Amino acid sequence: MKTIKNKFIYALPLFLALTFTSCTENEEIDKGTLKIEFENLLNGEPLQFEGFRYNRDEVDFNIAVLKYYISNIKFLDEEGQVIFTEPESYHLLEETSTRKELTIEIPDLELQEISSIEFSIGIDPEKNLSLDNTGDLDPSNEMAWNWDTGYKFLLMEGEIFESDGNRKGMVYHIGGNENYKTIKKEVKAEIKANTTATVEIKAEVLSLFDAPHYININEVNVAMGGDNASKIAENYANNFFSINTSN
Amino acid sequence: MKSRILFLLSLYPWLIACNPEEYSPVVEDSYQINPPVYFGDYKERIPSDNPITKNGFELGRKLFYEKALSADNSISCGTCHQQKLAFTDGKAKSEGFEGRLGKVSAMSLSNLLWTENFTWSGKFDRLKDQSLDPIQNPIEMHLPLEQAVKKLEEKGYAADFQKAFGSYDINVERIGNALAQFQRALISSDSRYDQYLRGEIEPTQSELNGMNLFFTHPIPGQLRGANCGDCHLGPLTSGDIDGFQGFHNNGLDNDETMDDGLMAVTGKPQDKGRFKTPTLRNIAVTAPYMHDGRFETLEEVLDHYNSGIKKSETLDILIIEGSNEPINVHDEIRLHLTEKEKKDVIAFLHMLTDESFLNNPDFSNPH
Repeated sequence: MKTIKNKFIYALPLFLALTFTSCTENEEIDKGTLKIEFENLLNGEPLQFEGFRYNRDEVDFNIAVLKYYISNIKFLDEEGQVIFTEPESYHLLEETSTRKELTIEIPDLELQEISSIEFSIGIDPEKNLSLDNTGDLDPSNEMAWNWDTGYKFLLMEGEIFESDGNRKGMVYHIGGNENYKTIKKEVKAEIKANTTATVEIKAEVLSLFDAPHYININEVNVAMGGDNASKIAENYANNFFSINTSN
Repeated sequence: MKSRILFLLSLYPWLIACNPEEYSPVVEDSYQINPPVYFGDYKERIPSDNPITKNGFELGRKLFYEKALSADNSISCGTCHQQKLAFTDGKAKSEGFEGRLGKVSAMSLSNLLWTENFTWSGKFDRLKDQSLDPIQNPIEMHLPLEQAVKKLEEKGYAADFQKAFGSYDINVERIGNALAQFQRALISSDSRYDQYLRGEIEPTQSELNGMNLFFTHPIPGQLRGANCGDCHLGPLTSGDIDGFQGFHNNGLDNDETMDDGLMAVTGKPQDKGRFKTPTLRNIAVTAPYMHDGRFETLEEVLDHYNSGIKKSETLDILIIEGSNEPINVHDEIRLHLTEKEKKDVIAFLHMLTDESFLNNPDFSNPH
């Protein structure tokens, strides 16, 4: 019996060690998480990809890929004061027929009430012209143009089907420092301890071509810089994103 | 005694728990590849069960140049993938067992960490599987894999496998893994273009103009562009890594005459004539060009993109919508580059030659 008792005594530190292996100097503070879920819509319905045809400006078209950068996220309180700035805040949101990455998760947040959220579409000039970046700015993620032009901020590609069977592309690659746009939206979100709050943001594709500049997709089926790209950028700053706060 | 050891062991979690450095096992034998940051993150692209080790790399290198892996001991991987030609063979279509001709041109091997879906038609999604295929393929090396294992045993490879993988066992999985390790280490990042990106050299006016044209999608009346960078993306100059997005129909043939390409793998008609976008690094030494080696020179390639595009059901929209002049839907597809612009683009393509890669003794035949 003695040997068994001994063994227990020897093994006691093992139990203790496995039970309390955290450092005491880091006091646990309650933190919460915010999840921002984007949803791409077209005409108010979830965006559909290849094989599904839409109609606008008297032509049928489909969408193959939609990607855009959301960056420099900040939270503001009801006075409009910035209460949180996400560090290294660059998020590439992508949707294709086989891929859907539309969620941004920000963990380890102080407990706080958020009245509005500010974010930008694109990459700020400082980061935009250096391609030695990693993570979502990794230049091998096919959103980098080249050294001098920086990143594509928004990329949408698809195809237009004219009645006589001619094939025409829809190619919108919007970038350039002048098209970096910052927007602010009201939200209602409370960060509570050890829970995840969710904010849903809807992105309406047709609003890229709607206001303040109406763009006929059949006439302007390509925009990769120049005036038309700037118009689309002004449109995405205007009304691309909406947040429903009535919940 | 046993209990005492248990007692000492039980202290171990205390020792590591408050260590500010995170505990991580170090692979002493790791082979350092050091690619430039602008190639993008790669650590997650190396399979965790097959890290690149010095001994694994060396075994892979020996196997890559091992003619015993062919049925009649006449061909190795290195036969069709010669280092001095950036691991191509200078032929339109590669010759395999007894001179049998394949259907496609041997692809250059470099910077493979940043690509997936290997071969022109995207047949293999993992480098390991791709590496084993030519060994057993009847028109390439024509050696059943179980015989490959046996021949390597006879040639005394067991010690190399022990060093690379920890036991003397030679098997198919390990052959593929070693070949993959060697090929993942084939990094080409010291061309004049890289030296320019690092701020070490001044490009010529022609190179600089060609570089800008290469990466620019033209807008008629506003912006001159050669439209290459839409498919040959970024500093890697290779295709989109995501799924099959890097596979394009680049207007080589019309619907009647075109090869199946990606359709052979996916079965989808919309994938007909789509081929993998190859890297353009070292392109000046990898002639002839295209999946079937139909073009002898870079001048012919530029002429094709400028004025030789054939329309088809699956022609890539980025080509349809790329011109320096306004084009109506019924017109022929033309890029409308000037002779000088074509020459400038070719000057940039020559910037992508990396002599230190072509001559790196670590990648040469060790036999």
